[in-house]
Amino acid sequence: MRSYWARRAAGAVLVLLLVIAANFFLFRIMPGDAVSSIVDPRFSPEAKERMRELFGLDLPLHSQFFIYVRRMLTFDFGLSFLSQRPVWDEIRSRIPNTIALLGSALLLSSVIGTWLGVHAARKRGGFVEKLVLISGSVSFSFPSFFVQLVLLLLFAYTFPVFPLRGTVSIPMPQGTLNLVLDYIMHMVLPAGSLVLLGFGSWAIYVRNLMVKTLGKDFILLARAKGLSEERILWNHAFRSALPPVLTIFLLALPGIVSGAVITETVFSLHGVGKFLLDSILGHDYPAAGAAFYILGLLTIFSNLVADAAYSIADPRIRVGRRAER
Amino acid sequence: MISIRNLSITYETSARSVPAVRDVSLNIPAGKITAIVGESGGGKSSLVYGVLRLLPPEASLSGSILYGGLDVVSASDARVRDFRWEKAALVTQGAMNSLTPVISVGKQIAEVLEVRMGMKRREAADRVGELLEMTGLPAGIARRYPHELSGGQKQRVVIAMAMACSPDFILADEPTSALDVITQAEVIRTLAGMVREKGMGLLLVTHDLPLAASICDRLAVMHRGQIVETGSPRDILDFPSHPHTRALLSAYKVLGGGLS
Repeated sequence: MRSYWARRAAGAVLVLLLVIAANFFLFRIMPGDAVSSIVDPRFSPEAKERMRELFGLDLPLHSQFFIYVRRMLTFDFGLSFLSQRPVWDEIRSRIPNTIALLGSALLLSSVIGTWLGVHAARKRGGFVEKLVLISGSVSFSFPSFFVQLVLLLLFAYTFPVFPLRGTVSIPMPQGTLNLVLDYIMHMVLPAGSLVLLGFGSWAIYVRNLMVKTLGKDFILLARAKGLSEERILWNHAFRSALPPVLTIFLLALPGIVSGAVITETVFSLHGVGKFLLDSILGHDYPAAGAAFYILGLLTIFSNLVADAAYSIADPRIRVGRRAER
Repeated sequence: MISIRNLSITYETSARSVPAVRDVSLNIPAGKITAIVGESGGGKSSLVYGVLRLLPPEASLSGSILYGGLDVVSASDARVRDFRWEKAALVTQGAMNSLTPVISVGKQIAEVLEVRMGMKRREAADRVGELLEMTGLPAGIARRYPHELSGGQKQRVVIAMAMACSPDFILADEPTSALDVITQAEVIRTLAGMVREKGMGLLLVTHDLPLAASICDRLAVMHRGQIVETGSPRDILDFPSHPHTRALLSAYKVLGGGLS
């Protein structure tokens, strides 16, 4: 057990270092020189050189790299070129929004998708199965920004039920309850659009796994035991199908994180994804690097959580147990 | 006694209908071991699963399967569910995929005790230990998962599970065919011994005629969905009347077994 987690943790650290290294070199092979993007071209070469010294750009590459790693690990991202405020402060204020958006979208689409998938497999040829097969293939074939713009047009413009943009109304509503409600109203369309785009493929995947599992011998034995259908469905079939479901969850995470960039931009949400795009467009290298890093960190962390869930769900991968014999 | 009367089982597919069991009548007496032997695809397994009404939806049943006042063929789902396991428990090829891979074997046995017998968790756990020991396994194996057990151990777990509710009958479908010969003999001896000790009825389905003959009270030979011969094992081995029985016997003689 311990060796399993040691390996997972080592893997996570390695990925983190790779992300940092990629960030470091990516911004150094981009055209143009870091100094020229912040100083006036009319500066003298001496002034530019002083600037390079100031930023540590005159140091050998490996020293620069170690300084960079240390700063990343201590969340010291420097000042944003655009706002002149510490990048970490900018990002910190945006993380909760991104987590609220992605967390609720992921949770809802997996719960709805799983429930539909399980019930589709239970009654083959029934209404739920047809719904799952249709919605799965339809939701798969639309680009996210298109669906999101249509939703905005329908539910924020034609029928203005939900706010058009942002995470909070202006002026801000008074009282905690009103603030929370206002926040939820702002999140319905962005999170809802991700759910709409995501639950169908979940449902199809879970259905296919469940159809396969329900044909296994141990389901027959569970039925012979005189257990209720409900118990067979969830305790035996779904629990056995859970490990591969978690694998998909795990594989879907990076895609969902990159989806945040599009979704937050379409809905003008104050989140890390939109911050990333704004920073890149504004040549704000410290900010863009930090945003990449934070999104990478979020992905690595969620992968670890999914791994933990996987090892609880599937006794066969708790390899450490064998030694206890 | 479980009394099978004129039972036919047909698998209906969109293209054609395949008869698996044809007009079979058979009594499975309480407290005795009845064996059905025959070649693969002869309808033996369909018969066993038919008795518990566990056949896939494309199978249609006609005739009757009587136990007490219950006719399994026509009874409601709820009544059939009560019949399953408490009256007639199933022993499958445990060595294969009969156990749910993600639940410890102890919990899988305890589940029947809790759900069907209304036992509390502690009480059920103690009983699981006893049941496992009865089949010759250490009680500690309850914490293990199926993938951590050998084929023979899994088969014993499945037998322990079948004994859990002290049913009147055990229906065993090829309980040993995925095991090596030595383990086969051990497992079948355990099963027969437990059944005799508790006075349960056993319906043993196998293609292994010598194995069946060595433990059963009555032997039935099944061929192409029909029972072609029944009698005491001695009589059938000494005076086989149906050509299929003779074929089965000679197959074993050719393979060098020698029946004694």
